[in-house]
Amino acid sequence: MKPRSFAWRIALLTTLVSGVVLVTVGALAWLLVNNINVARIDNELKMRTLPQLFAARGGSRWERLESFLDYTYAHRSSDSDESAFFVLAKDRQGRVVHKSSSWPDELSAEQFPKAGQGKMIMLSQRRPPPGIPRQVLRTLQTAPGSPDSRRPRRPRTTKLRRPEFFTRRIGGCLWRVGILGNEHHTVVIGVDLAEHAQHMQRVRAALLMILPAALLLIAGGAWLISQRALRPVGALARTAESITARGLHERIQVQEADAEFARLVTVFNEMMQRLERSFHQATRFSADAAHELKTPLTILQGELEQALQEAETGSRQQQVYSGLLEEVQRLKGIVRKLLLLSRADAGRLELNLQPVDLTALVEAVCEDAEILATGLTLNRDFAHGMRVLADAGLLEQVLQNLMSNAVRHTPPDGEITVHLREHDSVVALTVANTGDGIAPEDRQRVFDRFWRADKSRGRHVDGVGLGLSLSREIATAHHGRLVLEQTPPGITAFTLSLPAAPTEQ
Amino acid sequence: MRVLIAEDEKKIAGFVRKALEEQGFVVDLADNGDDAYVLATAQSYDAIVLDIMLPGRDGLSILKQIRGRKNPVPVVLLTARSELDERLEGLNLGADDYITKPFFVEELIARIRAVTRRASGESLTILQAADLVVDLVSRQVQRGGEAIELTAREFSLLEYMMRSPGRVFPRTQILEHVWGYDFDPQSNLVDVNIQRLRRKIDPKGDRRFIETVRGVGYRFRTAAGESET
Repeated sequence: MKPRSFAWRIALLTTLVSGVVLVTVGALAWLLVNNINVARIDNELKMRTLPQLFAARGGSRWERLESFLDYTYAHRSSDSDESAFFVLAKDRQGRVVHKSSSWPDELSAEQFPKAGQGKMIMLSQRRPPPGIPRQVLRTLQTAPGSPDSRRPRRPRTTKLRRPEFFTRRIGGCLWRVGILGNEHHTVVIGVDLAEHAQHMQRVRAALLMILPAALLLIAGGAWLISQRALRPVGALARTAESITARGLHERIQVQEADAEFARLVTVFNEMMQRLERSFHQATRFSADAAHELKTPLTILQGELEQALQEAETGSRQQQVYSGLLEEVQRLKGIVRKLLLLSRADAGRLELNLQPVDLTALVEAVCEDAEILATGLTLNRDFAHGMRVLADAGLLEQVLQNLMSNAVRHTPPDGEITVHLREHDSVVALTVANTGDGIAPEDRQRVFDRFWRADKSRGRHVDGVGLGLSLSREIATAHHGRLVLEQTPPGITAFTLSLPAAPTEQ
Repeated sequence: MRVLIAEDEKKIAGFVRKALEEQGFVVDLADNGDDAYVLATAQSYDAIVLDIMLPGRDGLSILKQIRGRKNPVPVVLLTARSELDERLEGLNLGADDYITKPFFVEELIARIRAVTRRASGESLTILQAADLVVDLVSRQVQRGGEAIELTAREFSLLEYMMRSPGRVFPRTQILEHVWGYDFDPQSNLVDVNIQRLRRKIDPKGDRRFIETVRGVGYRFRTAAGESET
């Protein structure tokens, strides 16, 4: 699975690393416990055996040792009478002087060294050799019948075989085997590790239970921490998302951000500020420009109107004035649209909302279209009494724009279909026309300002290409939408959807 | 009728004054807010045309002060901004009407006439030319007692032209008044509707109410005579 979120990835990586560390620590802990346990067993064997090595001569000491071991280790399990230990003693000549009944058959007595073989160490009270516990040493030196007690004047030193321990699998079970001895005897002693294995099993079970729980905790914690750490990024993204041309004043709060994020937020906010400033400049510019144009236009229009009335009726002069007045009218249209657009950009397109009978409005515009488009077929499919809450003037402008576009782009024998329906409290008006349609690469651009489908086409009053852009702004200001529909080639369709007016009681 | 025009743009004030004087109004001009206020309080006018953006006192505060003195003179606001808030504020302060720049002087005169008529209590509800009667309230049209069915556009067209008989209406001016802004001024909308209207109000062809001004537009004839001049 591919991690999609950064927080998720941080949490995953943290958990992974922690997991590896936890498993390693767990394994080490297990080994440590194991070693301590085995060392304890070895120590116990030494404690039991060494005193017997130096005990008074006589066969009974090996029996004594065996009964000690029996007392400590008894049987391998409660329902079995197999001994959990074995003992073998050899003397200097390699003769077996004692062999417990539990001595395993697969183990040959010959393989063990006789007394005196192997490395011997000197025992002295002042310098205890390594590997011999102090209390054992004390026991040896005070043991009754030890060589020392009989010859008190001799320096208290004695020879001891360096104890040797190993683990071996015998008869399918693990045994801890120790070889101990002095210059007179070698003792081989084995203890079943079953109990130890059980103990280690419990340790392992505990570790296996704790590990996943700890890992789960770490994963949860890592997730929470990464979530918290990335919260400023989320806030940044949300703000960036909510920013439109109308919300450029939005900024991200920085109070609790960490240094790294604080910088990011500051940079972002500064960028927003620059964006806001230049956007406002652009909006203000077009608003100011349009506004400044109004006074000369008023003068032009007023003077022309006056001159036209004064000229001789039907004269060439009057026709010239009339033509000029048309151009002034065209300019007025552009200025008015620019002003409306800049107001829409600034989020201040004011609407004089009132209930409007959309059906009647569409009907009237269709009548106009029939006059404009002689020869075209106009199909009407209206639902009656469609009412919306709208600015009637602006809404009519949208309808006229859609209709005159359709008329303009339909070939002489073409068809225009006007469809008006309400669905789920949304009134949708679709104006579709046959014709060349809009090229796929141009679909994105039809709502762009000053864009025209055909650059070579002659001028029209709406020929500047502001109509659709403004129509969409008007639709948006009414909480509606204006979209170019996906249609088969040869058909162009625009749909205006507006929220239906609440029905009056 | 005496009218005060408060407008700082001299050329605009100039042609408005000229047009009003031609219609028999007596016109005073003020090119700043302070002068306008002094004139408005010192003289008695039948109507005041107030530009909202004036040097000195602005139009809205002048209006407020006039109304504060219980002066009921009809006021038409002139605004370049056409912003809804400003217009609504003007109307709330007691303006009788408003008109946005750029405007047709003809339209302004019609508004001034309407507000003065309203102020004097008489109201224009019937337009009449010979036996053609247009009821502006019930929106019914009769010719010689017979009712004529007109579409909304045709009615608006007829009413507009009948209000200023004898005046030449260029096509583009008719288009703006009846249809708004978004149609091509060279389209045949106006012509087709005029033809339909002519057929309806003059089915027998015995009297041409609407005259074509070649290459310009149309004119509603005043004279009751049959001959074209």
